[in-house]
Amino acid sequence: MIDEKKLKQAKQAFKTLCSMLDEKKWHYEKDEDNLTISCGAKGKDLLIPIHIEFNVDRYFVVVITQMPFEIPEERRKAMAVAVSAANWMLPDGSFDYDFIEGIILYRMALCFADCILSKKAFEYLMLHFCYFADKYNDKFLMVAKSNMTYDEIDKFIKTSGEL
Amino acid sequence: MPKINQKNEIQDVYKMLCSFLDKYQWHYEKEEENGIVRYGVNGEDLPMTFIIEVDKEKELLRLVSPFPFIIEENKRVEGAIITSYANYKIANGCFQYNYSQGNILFTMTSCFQGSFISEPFLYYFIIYSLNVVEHYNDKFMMVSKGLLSVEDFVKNE
Repeated sequence: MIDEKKLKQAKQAFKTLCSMLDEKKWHYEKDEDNLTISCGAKGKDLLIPIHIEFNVDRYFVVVITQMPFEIPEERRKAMAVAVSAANWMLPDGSFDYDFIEGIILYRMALCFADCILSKKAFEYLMLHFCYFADKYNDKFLMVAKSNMTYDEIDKFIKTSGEL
Repeated sequence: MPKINQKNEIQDVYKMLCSFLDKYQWHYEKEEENGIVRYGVNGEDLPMTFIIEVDKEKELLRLVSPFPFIIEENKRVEGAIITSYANYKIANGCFQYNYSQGNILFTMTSCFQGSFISEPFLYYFIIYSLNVVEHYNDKFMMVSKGLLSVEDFVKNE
């Protein structure tokens, strides 16, 4: 049974997010019944497919992208080191790694429990999301295709993009 | 829902956070000039420390919980696997793992730019992070000490 108060707040937050996306001229598809949004961004190297979901029951919105490549089995342990190194550098969000299936996700979330979230907050969410997904996706692919050692991977990811 | 007053005043989120902790009688230390509060919680297995920073300039709420142990040197790769897999299982926040030193932080950041936040928001922020850290801290330690295999850790998640 859906909590009407939670649903109302989720719908309000959904509306604010859509309004921000419209203002910034994003192309997106929305499902107003399930409160989900699909869109994408073009990164420096790889495309970033984006899925946004409003969890009504738990009062938060989550933005997720899945890296558009699977990690070969022989590089799955190494990739855990790469993902950890990237996470160590993040100010927000998380790279999530399914070691069993060889899948990497990037995730950011925002809680809207009894809040009035602004378009600015959603702009921060989407801007940072795209920036960090783009910063590391190609690095992960390089690690997957390489034979870098664990120490080399840790150093490579932590110094990526540094001047 | 919170009410925006006539003057549309900006919330003092730090003051709100302290009032919230006071209301529930949490013991905490204040570093008001830095917008920081620190508190500890005795978990079932391990003590937990939490630091929340209210960044007024960037309008961000940042939580950090440093783990009270490091992953043993011979288990550093395992540490990378379990922390990144735990991230795959949680809905918010991040286990940040330093492979070279073996230390773990749980972190969670929330942006409140131009927004009005509420007590339930703070409740979620504090209680959710506590539950996540409590759920994983002993399991990470057990893998570090060789008492729990990575396979069993993953199987039980």
